[in-house]
Amino acid sequence: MEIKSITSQLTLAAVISTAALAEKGQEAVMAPLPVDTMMSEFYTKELIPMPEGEVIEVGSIALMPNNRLAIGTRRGDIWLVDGAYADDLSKVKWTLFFRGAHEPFGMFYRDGWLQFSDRGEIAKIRDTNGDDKADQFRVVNASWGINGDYHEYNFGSEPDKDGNMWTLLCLTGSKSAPSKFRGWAMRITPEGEAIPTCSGVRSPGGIGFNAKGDLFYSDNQGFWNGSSCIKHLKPGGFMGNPTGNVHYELTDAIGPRPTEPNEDSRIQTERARIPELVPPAVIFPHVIVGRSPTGILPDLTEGKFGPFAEQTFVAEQNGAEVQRVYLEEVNGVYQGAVWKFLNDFATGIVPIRLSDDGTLFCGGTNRGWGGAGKVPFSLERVRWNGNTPTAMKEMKVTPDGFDITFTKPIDSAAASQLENYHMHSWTYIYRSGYGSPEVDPTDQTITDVKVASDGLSVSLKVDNRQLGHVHHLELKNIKGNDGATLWHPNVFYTLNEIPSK
Amino acid sequence: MLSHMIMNKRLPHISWLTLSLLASAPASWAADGEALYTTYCASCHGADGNGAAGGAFPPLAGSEWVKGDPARGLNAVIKGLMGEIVVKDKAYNLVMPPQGDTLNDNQLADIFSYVRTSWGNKESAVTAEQVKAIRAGTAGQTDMWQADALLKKYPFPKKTTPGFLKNGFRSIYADVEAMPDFSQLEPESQGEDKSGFLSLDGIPKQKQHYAVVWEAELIVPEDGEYTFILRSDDSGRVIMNKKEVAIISGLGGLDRVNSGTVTLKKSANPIRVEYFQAKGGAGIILQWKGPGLKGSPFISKKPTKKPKPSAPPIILNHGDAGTARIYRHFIEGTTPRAYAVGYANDANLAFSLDHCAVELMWTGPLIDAGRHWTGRGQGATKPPGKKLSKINSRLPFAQLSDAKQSWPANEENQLIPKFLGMDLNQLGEPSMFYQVAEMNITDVVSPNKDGSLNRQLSISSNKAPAQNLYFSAADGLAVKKLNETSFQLGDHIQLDISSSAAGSATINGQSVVLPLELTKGTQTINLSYSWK
Repeated sequence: MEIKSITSQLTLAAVISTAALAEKGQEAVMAPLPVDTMMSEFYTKELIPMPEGEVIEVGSIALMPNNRLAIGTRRGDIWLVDGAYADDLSKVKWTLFFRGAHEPFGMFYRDGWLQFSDRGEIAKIRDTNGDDKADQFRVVNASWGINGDYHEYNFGSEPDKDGNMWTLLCLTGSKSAPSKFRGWAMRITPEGEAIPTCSGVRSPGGIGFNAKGDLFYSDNQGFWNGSSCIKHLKPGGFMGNPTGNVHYELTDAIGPRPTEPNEDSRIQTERARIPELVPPAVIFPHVIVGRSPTGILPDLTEGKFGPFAEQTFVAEQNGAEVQRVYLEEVNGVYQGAVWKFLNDFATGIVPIRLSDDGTLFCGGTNRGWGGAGKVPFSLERVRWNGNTPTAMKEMKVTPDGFDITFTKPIDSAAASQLENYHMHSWTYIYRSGYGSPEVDPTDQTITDVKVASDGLSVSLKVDNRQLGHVHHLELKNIKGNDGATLWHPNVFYTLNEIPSK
Repeated sequence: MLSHMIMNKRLPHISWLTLSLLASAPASWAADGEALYTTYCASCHGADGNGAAGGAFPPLAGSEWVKGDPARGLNAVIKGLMGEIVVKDKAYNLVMPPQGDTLNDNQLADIFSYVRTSWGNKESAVTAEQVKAIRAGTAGQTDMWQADALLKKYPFPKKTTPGFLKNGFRSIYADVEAMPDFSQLEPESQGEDKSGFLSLDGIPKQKQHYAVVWEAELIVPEDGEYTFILRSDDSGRVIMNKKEVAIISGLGGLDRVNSGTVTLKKSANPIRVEYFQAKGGAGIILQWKGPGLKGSPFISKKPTKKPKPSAPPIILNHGDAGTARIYRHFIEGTTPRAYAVGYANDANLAFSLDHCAVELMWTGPLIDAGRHWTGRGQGATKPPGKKLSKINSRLPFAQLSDAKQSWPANEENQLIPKFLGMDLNQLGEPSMFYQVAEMNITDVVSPNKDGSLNRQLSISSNKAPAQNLYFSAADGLAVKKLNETSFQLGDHIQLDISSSAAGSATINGQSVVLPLELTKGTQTINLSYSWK
């Protein structure tokens, strides 16, 4: 009781204090968001039964022709799943296709082959005699080092628009790079050539595209990474962790080794010193929006998965969730907003795949890394039930503020009240240490709001935005014009650039 | 409604209201601590402190790591912790990621205070000043703590339960073949034993064929009937007030129990215990129960409990119905990229994809996957079967001036194989493909009913391959030539070689080297491995 009253008064105090609070080095502490209970009004989540007695810790999912899935497990098995799209999931059939992969994280189907990312190589397998057992295994590429450290994971993408797949080489023990090309992203051509493409990777949890086809990966909070985030794998880019930069001496594919970042700095400060440094596109504030982001994919279902077509979804292992991301490019740099989206999965989610018909497949495992959820491993599917949630859809930066669009018209009376918008921001220390507190807390002032006549967007004028900060906007008391509660009223926008017009 | 709030604990210009409220905040650490614990810690340690995922992660409730000086735990949380640990008699091999750069002193104090006073833990609360001091002490440390180093610096408090024995005297007798008649023997050594317990402390583990006699006074708490429970490896005998109450005869382990009951007076009662050890495991466990005793306490030194292993064994064999099974992970004794293959005839091998060579062979189970399939799966696993033989560890092809030249070190060998893939037959047996210079090689292993393995390397080349090529058929074991084509490798394997592509195999140091006489086209090397 006592703590509650302190809290509400404190909130009041924070609200009255609208002055700019930025003072470098100060710490802010933001509490987690309340748990969402509305998801089931819009999305249906179902467990896909697994064969009894089998341990299927899902590390990879590939979509195959004829509504078939392939599932790669951390134990090294690859299963074929039939019936995962059917209404009656009790008839799902699992067939063991291959045994002997090395903890593959990332798999796709192309030209009759399943291609996956083993620790030690990109490999492909196929069945040539139609008995649903792989009989050919071929190495596509193996031009990086592994030394037996369990943290030397390898996360692979689907093919990009040029047909290349990308592979991400986690640092050794997540903090050193004794093996060749640890901490790098490489492109692997269909012919099996490797092209070193980005440096600065720490400990990825997944890799995937946005709707435009640019590639992003999730990097987990840790050394040189203040909070988990997704980063744009811009060819030639340095993703921020300098540990693997020793390997510039192995290749001239992306130019000379970048300048070392300074300790106890800020990403925004170091960007000015290090032109190759790619800032996080969207920071997922630690424990507020998960803390182990994993698989990434674009919604290309043209509305079959709800009103978020063309947006990017990012899975979360620790919290057993899926977050939703709006990305935009400003001055050639990606940035954008993250909302919480789907939650309460049976296990922490690692890989996700979204089929054209709007079925989201989510694979779970919590072995070795704790995850919310009740079971140690799982495969689930999520479908939109046709009810459109009233929610923020996009958050776009403007020269003097942000524009917010909505999935359905909102009540313009409430939406035109300035006091229904609260924004504050903070950033993280950029340093060799493991993660960072929230620092440089700053309050923004909303000075003007314009609600569009169709009720589908608002334009906010915002004073005191901070480059390099996560801007947290909370919408209060804003409902649909039909009275519907706003789903996920909190959004976190990472501001790397401000457009001039 | 906590959600959109910034709680800034050091702002000079925030309102008086906030300041006065914050001043009272530390008193509410229990509430803050629980919320912070739930957010930052519970996904692994469990909301109830019992370790998440049914105890797959270490518990904090009742954990010895939480007891006593908070410095141990604070160091682990601030700097991170790796290496195997034991918590409440169970081993864990995970990683505690460092939180010191994420959580501030107040938050850590709140979390620690909550953990140390919850779920039955009854330790002192922790202040931000304590956290600050520990943090300052670790300022220069960039690596996570290794568990053994942390425990060396901050050991668990020693439990000192006094023993039941007084005025003890221990005699050791050497060179005895069975429980002796002690009246006929002179002790090798003897002396006062003030430990208060029966123990074999100070006697070398490898010592064989000896006997021990303890004579002491047993402090009996009340008048009444007492039962003595004896386990002994090998023989043991308990005599109270000159009367035998329990005996274990002959040779055997600590699973053998004998007990006896005797009426004792409340006082110091003379006890004599005799013990004989032949060889192998040694130990004596004596417990008693009766009036005034809680449970059945130990008169002998309390045996240390072996913790439940962090990774219980998961033994894998070859497949069903005559099929082979492939296991891919880090295998001790070969390179990080390697397959273990278990064949239906119980023969197993490890094939290195880095060297394109069969490097290990063994019989029996294929692998213990427990290490890799539990927790994060750190490290390499040693093949579990019998007759484990390391038959190669170097690149298998080299150019030599003659058979006597020493084999080049792997990093100097120009003939680096490139693993291309494998085909699997109906029985799941792989045929490996690789390239060495201009040679394309197919490497097929097939099991025989007698447990042996046949291996055929088919070497194809579109042009005449390089001259002075040699193949290393085995290396690293003691090698003995049995006849022109047969060699013994170490203790367990006989290697028979026939080839369309080679001259006579020769022994070069500890290796069997085969000169290759390759021409354009396909030639074969046949290797047969049978068990001794």
